[in-house]
Amino acid sequence: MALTSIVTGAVYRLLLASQRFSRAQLSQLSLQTNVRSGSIAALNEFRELGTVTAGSADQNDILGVTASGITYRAARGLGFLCQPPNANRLQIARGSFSGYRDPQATRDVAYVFLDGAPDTEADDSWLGLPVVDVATGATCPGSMGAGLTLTTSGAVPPDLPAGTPIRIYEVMELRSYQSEGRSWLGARSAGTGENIQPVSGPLADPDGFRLEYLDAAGVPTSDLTAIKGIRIAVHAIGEDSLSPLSGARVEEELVSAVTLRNGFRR
Amino acid sequence: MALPVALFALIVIGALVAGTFFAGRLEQQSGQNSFFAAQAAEAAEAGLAETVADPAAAALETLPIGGPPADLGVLGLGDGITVHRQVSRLTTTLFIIRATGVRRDPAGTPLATRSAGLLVRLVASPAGSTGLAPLPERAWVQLY
Repeated sequence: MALTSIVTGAVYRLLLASQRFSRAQLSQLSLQTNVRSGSIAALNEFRELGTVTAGSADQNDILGVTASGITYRAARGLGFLCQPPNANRLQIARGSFSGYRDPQATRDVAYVFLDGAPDTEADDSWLGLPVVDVATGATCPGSMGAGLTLTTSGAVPPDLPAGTPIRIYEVMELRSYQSEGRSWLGARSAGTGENIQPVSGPLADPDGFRLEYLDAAGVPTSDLTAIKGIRIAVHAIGEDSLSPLSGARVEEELVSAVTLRNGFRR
Repeated sequence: MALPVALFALIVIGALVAGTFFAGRLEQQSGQNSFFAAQAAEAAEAGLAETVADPAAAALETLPIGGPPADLGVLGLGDGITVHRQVSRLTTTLFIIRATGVRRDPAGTPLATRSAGLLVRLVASPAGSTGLAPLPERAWVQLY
């Protein structure tokens, strides 16, 4: 009887310790997944942004920044005209379109490349036209196959040749926000006015998601047109705020940086 | 009585350890996949840069507009990493370079693939040679 009691007690303590260890391990794993997914989401969104130092609003994809959030034109795809535009209709060869998703009416804007004088790049520009309708019924001329027809709210220059690049973007907001008493990293399509959706979290308060905007020399800048890189810090806390093993606060921070690929020629 | 209790405890602890090991393995693989994806993406970047710097760009003047792309072949970057590059002519002056970076395991099975594109135009240097230059704005494209 005494031996059974001793063994049962020892087994109980062993089980308790093992369970605490497992919970602590799972909490740490969940935390690492959390910070990594938050960082990757931000890096992928920011990589394609373009800025032109001292350029116009149309030339700059970063629309507003704070230390814990950013509003920007997020690239969603690229395609090429399969024939010259007709009034306000752009027809893209379906096979040429490569994107994170298909274009969506009222959510996306089409950037149309205007070549200007062909022997100089000085007058090259991108014309932004809101997409009001997307249709897939019409086919492209010749053997180019299915088409993707975008109707825009503005007039398209009629002399654009087939092959002209069309970039699709949407205005997005990525920032930390509060929900149920905790901080989260969230994203929303700002153009549609949708509610913010969680990307990762919970984050540490008050600075679980920090952004630092860097110029070409890697120095922090507040000039939106001079931003050429972004440093991203994601500081997450565990679902169990204290470690079941040590009693210490469970937290992890991952700092990463991205160079804006379209920010360096001008 | 003590023996069944101890055996039961061992089984439960074994299950807990196996569960933790499984979760840890998943996390380790997830981190490794992120690393492979980053290697493939950097390979694609290298492919774009190498193509722009290639002095043979002048040969692209003969590419038909809207025709099939010119295949520039595969570059080996070591450690199972390769990049495949293609150039297509879009208009009289405009081209797109597509680079697909792949990270493979020692058996040659792809572990991660990433593609990127660069919109470029042919430009003549003051010395008379022809080269490729990215568009001044929004030239770089993530391809899927």
